[in-house]
Amino acid sequence: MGGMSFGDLLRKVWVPLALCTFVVVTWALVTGLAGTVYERTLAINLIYLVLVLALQIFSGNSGVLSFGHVGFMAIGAFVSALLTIPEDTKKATFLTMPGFLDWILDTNVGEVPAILLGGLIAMVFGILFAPPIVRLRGVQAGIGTLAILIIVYVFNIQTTSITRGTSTMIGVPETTSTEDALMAVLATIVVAYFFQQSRRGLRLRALRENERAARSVGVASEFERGVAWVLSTFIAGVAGAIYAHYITAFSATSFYFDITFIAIAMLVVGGLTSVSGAVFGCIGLAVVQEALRRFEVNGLFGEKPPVGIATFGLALILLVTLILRPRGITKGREIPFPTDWTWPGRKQRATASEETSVATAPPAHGAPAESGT
Amino acid sequence: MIDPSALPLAAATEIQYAVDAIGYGTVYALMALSLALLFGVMGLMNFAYGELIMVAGYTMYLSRDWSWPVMVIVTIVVVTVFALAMERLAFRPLRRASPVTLLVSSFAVSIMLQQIAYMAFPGPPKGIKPFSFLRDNVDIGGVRISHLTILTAAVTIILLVATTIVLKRTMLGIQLRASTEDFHMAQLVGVRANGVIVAAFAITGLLAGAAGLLYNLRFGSVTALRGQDPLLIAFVGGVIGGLGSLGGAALGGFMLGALTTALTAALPNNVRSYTTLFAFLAVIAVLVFVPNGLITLRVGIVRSLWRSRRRPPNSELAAPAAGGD
Repeated sequence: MGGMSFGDLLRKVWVPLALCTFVVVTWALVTGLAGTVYERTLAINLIYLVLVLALQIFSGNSGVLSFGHVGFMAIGAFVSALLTIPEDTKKATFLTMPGFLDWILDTNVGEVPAILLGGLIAMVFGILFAPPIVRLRGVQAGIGTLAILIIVYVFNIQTTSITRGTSTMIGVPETTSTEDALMAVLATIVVAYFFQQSRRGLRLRALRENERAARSVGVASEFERGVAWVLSTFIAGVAGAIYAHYITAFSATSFYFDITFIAIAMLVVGGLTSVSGAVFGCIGLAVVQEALRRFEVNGLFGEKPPVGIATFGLALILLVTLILRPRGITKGREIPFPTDWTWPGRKQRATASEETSVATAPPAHGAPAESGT
Repeated sequence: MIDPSALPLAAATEIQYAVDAIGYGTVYALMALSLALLFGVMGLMNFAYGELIMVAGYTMYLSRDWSWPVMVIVTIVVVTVFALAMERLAFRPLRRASPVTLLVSSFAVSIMLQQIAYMAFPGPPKGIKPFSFLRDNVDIGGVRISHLTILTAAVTIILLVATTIVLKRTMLGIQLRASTEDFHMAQLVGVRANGVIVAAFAITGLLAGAAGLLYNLRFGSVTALRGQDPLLIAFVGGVIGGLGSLGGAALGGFMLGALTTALTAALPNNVRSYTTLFAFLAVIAVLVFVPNGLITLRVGIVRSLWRSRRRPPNSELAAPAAGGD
């Protein structure tokens, strides 16, 4: 390690550095040029990016697609909200708080601890759900995680004494700024990339490529998937908490199929297996969606499309991507190091992380070799 | 009020619930059967299936002024056309994709159809005119049963039997069952891939048309999200019963559908909805402990599929857990 040159070091941190720069530049351009109109869109999509990165940590590395992460986002949002709403408001709002949770009414832990606690409690539920989920793969995992989403949703809708059900939460302090969301994104990019590059991430990616081969050399498939699952539920919880403190008015219905669909579309369109895919997919689809929304509201050349065109467009892009470019716009690769650029169509330099995707049929020539970090 | 020849009121109500439960349970059985068929033939867990029910509803809304036989035929034709279009436009280009890709794409199709419905029919739910002869009830020994319930039960049972006969006795059915068992082997012995897949979509379209008619008549109105609830029930029932087996899925769909119908009628709102929570916990448990489903009937022709279907080399996506097939 002592002999590592500057070039080696740069190569090691290149991907997160480039992605963080890209996100910061996007942020600066939008806040600088577009002004306050797009500030809200920007902040919300940055928070979505945290969620998409959480999803990438689990699904991208393990190849197991999860439809359940928005459930953990909901847990983070409600926990963090309940721990920060002013005590008086809480006492007036939550009249039927169950006895064993009475202490919440007199508790206010402040913003940052609340966000972290939101993530932690989401993670506790993640740990509870981990034993069944890590045993599932493929469609079954999709169904199992979807079941988690519905379980959390139904619980939140029904348990009105704690969550107010379909009614909006009242008095959630608006403490998240766009800059806070940006910081969370940068931190998550770093965590996601270095998790992917860690020994643990490598083992998980080996499982994704060929589970039997990986197990045969001693990779504990369920444990490795579980670690990624728990880490990603924590980040999803944090994303939910940040979301809660940004939009402040939300209810149990805010965290269901809509956000799940957007997050999965962003990740799959970008390219599931790379952190770059999560970032580019999220920002790319956010731009498309916002453009369609503007079109929906303002019309173009005097023609006004019917409401619904924005979501329709997103779904269409997802479907067309799955058909034409099933590994996503990045093909599941990270941003190549500047000296590694090749002309399109030439054989790319094989690196460790980029070869398969949950969204594709496997390549006909068999598994690419995994190389070390 | 108290007529010794009639049943006590409470018992009569319970019988009414039971009849309702059976009548509508069979609708869910049809839906679960369709889902299992598509899953068997091409590994597609079709979330857009619920939208076929919704399409049926809007067709009924548009054809509300026509006589009922025309409405029935038009609805079934339109739904079948939608099912076939879905296959041609969205799923045929993804024929070789993994089941997870198909699952995600069916989500996309489902959302697209919902948004089209939002765009085409904005505003409040659209009313569906019930057929006049379905409004009445018959009185059997003090139990009042609506004509609609009787019709529903009769039609769905006939369709289930007919589907079974088609699958068991006709050349098409044999090809379908062979394809669900081993798609590539079936192709090797001369089954045409496009043929069976189109046939599977056509059958699910016909069944969805019929199920949609009966389901929407019961609600009397249609919204863009009308397909979500029946889809989830049929799908959960199918998974618990065993999506790998047509019979198991149908029975699972029937039992969960009947249970839901009975609970909806009998229980207060909050209990009913926590039931959903337990149903989905049961789904996770079934997936982990008995991935073939609880009902491993011998009529199941594709029992092993859930575990071993079309496993592409070098992919765990289609290939679930270790253990024997």
